Amino acid sequence: MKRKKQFLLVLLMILTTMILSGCAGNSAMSNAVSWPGLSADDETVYVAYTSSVQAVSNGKLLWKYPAEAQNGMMFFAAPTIYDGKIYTGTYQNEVHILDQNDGTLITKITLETNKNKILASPVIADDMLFIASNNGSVYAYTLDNLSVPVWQTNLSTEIWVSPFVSDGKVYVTTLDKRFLVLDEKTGTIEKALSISGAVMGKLVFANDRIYFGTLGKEVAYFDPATEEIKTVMHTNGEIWASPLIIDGKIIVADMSGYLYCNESESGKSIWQIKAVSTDKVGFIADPILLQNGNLLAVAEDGNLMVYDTDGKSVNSRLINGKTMSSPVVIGESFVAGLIPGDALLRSYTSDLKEDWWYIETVESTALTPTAEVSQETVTETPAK
Amino acid sequence: MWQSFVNIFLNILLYIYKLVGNFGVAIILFTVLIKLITYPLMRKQIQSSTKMMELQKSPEYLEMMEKYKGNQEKLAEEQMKLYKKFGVNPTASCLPTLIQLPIIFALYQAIIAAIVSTPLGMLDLTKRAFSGFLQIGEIFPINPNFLWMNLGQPERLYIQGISFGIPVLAILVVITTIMQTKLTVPPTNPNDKNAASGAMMTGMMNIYMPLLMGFMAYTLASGLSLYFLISNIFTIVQYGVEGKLNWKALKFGKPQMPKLATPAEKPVTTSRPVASANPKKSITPNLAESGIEPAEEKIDYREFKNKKKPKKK
Repeated sequence: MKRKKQFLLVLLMILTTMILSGCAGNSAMSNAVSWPGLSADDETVYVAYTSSVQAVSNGKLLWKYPAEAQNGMMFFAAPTIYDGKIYTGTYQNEVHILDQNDGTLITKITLETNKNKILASPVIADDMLFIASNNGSVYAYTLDNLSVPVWQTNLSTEIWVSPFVSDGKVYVTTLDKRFLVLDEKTGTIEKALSISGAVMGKLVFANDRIYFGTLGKEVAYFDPATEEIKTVMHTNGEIWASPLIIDGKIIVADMSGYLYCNESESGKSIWQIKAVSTDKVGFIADPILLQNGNLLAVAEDGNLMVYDTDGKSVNSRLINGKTMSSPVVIGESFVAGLIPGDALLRSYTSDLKEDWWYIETVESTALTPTAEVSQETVTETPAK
Repeated sequence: MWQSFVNIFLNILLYIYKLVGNFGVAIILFTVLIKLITYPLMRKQIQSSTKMMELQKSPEYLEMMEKYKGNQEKLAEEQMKLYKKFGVNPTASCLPTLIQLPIIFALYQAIIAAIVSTPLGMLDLTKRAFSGFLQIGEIFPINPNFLWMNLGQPERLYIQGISFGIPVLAILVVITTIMQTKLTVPPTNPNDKNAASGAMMTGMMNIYMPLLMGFMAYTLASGLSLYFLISNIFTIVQYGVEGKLNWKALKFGKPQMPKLATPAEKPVTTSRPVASANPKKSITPNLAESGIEPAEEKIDYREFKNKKKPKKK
């Protein structure tokens, strides 16, 4: 009897621990660790996602790095393409430098501790490589010596967004709502300014200013001439996506599903649309300009919407999967990255006709596309 | 449904964080809030267990135990009748404990959801925040640091000269859990077979509960360990306020058991001797053999109004 009770107690303890441990991830997206980060060069899309970086052209896999998933190695930030090389950050605080043609590892940079992640794409400017880590540091290397950083600047908190480099300055935003200006040669902090909220999208350079949207529901710019930050416009929802600036207009997509077009100079509203009516669905992906001059807005729920620059709806299409990745334009088409859908990548023409798709089964536990997908990597190119 | 429950916890936690600006303090205040909300239940549990203890010391109960010791089914039936008569709900003391479980699970999930380290986690957090209640842009990023701890990670204190991290919080959780279980469990009647069985269970719980809590505090997010610690301390305080702390149980060495009235001491005469008259034939021989000395506590049976003479067989 006593043994039975002891056994039951031990069983209860194990069960409780298992439930508690298992309950850590509980949201709808809890099984995912990231969404695909996309870059493009000519006809090829480079996608950094979960356990690998892949080069895909016209729906066909060119190469995959690493060929087999390695324990703990995860990729998120869109790869940086420069001079025949692919620079990609990992969740182990490393930057892997790959050959653009075949995906072989040329070298890798290991930062201080593997407990941190690189969530921001590395930046190359003026023959220097800038790496921002979520350990709160910015590292600068010369391209001809990647073994030791030229400088390292520790900032107050995590960095999730790629720095922007221009005119001898490195512009960085940290999660604790700060915009910083560093000296490109030394990494010295020259200016630190408060902003309304954390910046999630990339910094956009236009009109000699650096524009950014914040989770504080506003779009602002930093003017290097005056070294001041000015608010351009306020939005209904938080902003994740980076703004798009075209012909004196600023296009913004917020997390409440609104699309805005304002004058980039004065911030005056030109048009505003509630593009997504579903609750809790908004825009995470950046709005992009298609080759035909129309705007593409990609909602999280897989809704692709094309508008002209006057805000008139031209076309729309719902695809199966969540679309948080910013699409990339390839010629007259664009490529969207999906999680977890029936394909990893889908390419469409500017009028939303399907061009090609690419299915890939992820070996890791992170995300698995639909069950009918084969365990092997499958590439398909439908007839156009 | 469950997700909504967790989201309520998350939003309250984040709201407190917004007010105080410190996630550790927010967890402490949240724990106190939870304990205050569940205080009426806890009070009921204390009262219920006190009533139960009094009932188990009553001659009526002891006689019933003796009378039906060979018939477990009848014993259970009679016990239930007696519980009903004395207005004791034998399951009432379980309710606050059961309520704790979903709270622990929900809080754990809320802590993990609040301390995000990836864009996907951040996106998830924005979806869970009640937009009319919280502006996520205002409070994000949540600073997970409290004292030397990262509340989203298991806690270790690194001291110069020591090569490993000391799990201070886990140790404190073990100590306070031992204190809580010892201080808040009322002394049992060694003559009562059921109570003896309960004492055995309590003894096992005294060993396993601190171990389980310590293991969880060692391996899970330190924010949860902080909840365990504050919760334990608050429970002890609650029992203290109710005047029900069993300080004698804290003495190390031989456990102190209250001395219970022998048949000779009973003001109510019975025609049958109670089992404990002969220690060798005692219904708790294990206690007698273990050399446990009863404490100098006597029961005044006159406090029981519904005394009945035991029926002769």
